[in-house]
Amino acid sequence: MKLSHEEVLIRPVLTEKALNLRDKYNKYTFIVHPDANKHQIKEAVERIFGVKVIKVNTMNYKPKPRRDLRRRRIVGRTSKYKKAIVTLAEGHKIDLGV
Amino acid sequence: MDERKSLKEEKVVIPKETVEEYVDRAARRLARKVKLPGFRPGKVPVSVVKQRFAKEVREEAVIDALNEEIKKLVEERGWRLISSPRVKAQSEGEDVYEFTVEFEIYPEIVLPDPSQIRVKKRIKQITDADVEEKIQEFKEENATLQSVDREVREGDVVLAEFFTRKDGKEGERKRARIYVRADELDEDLYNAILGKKVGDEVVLPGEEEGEEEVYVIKKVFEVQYPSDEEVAELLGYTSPQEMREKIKEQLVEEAQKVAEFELENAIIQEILRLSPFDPPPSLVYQVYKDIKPQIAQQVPPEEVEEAALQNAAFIVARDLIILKLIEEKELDITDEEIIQYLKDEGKADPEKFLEEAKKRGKYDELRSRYLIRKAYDYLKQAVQIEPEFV
Repeated sequence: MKLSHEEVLIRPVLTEKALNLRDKYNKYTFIVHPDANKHQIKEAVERIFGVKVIKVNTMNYKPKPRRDLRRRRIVGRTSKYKKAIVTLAEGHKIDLGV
Repeated sequence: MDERKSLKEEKVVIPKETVEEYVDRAARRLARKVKLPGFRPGKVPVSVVKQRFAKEVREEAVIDALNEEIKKLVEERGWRLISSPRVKAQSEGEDVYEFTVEFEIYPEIVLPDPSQIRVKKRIKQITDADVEEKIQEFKEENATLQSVDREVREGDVVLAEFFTRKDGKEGERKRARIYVRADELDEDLYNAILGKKVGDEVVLPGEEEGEEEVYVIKKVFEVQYPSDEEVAELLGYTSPQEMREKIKEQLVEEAQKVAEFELENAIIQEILRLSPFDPPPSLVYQVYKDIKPQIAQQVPPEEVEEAALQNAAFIVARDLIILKLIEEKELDITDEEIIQYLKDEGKADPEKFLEEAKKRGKYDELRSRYLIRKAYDYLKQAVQIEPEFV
């Protein structure tokens, strides 16, 4: 599937775990388009942020039933999404603003 | 600037670049408290807090900077704060934040030279009539009622049935106890009831037109007062003469206490006249809350508010003057002096009382009470007192 670089990268993940990966291993976590492959992700990160990517790990998250806890019933499903952990070459950094 | 005022307003200007110095500290503090999905409590990095809670961090930083400025200002002026400063107004300029802050401080009290203070000491002279009045009070408290079959006379108590009547229709009947005394009873009823007997009706015009108030006399009681001998025995005296002597002594003692209390208040009033200052509102309010229920029992409801506020303001001013006097004259009190004061108040074993107070942790309370007493005594010795017998 043909996707623009901006379509591939949806948003960075800013959690305690993601920030630990960044600070300790220079790995950046993103939510990416579910149809994007590792090559497209690598290219998008390199083009948008101007950095050198050495590895991309991806994982798909299936939709889960969404429950209404007060009414105790299922009211829909969460969206499926894909997460990518991008390892950058030494000395390369992305400014996430935090 | 008028240092006698306890409320002061100051403009505090904080440059925005000063606030920047406080941002990191504020963000670190906030990071310990904020909850953010993806982070365990207290583990949110400061950089994330700064980004996600930019507004809150800035507000905290401004408050920190303002507190620091206020602290500096208070130290500079040498003020003693009574309550937390209050921000009355704030505005944001291009490079600065501006605040109008209200401070409540202990006012500067300048005590006048006590030897220049002249006050009158009003002392009530106790006469035999006062003693007789007191004895009469005891007699009335212990009076008994004797049912009599005769016409109503001055001083009697009448048991009657009361109802209203209009156009031949009677209202609900109620029992009424009537004290037949010229100085207490309604004049019309008093005049109408005198000379009546059991079974007689007393009819007076009612509140509405055509209405009548009817009293049917059911019983007449004569009030029998105990004799002087009986009252003396009741009060534990051997004779009416001893009773009169002792009552006079008590009344003289009471009058002296009242005179001393009024003298102390008069001295404080005079100090306030010579060297006026504003008592701090928050202290006045605290006292006002405490004394309001008491005042409510003494004055009509519409006057309670004003009377309580006036009294509270005087009490606060009085206490501040006494504290200033203790501080200025470096007054202190020894255990021996406390014991003497306790003796004067009639404590049976003052030494033991003092030891007990120390054991129970009440010593400081006792000490400050008598230190205040000593300060009043100092004032009473230093000012010019003119006795006035009334």
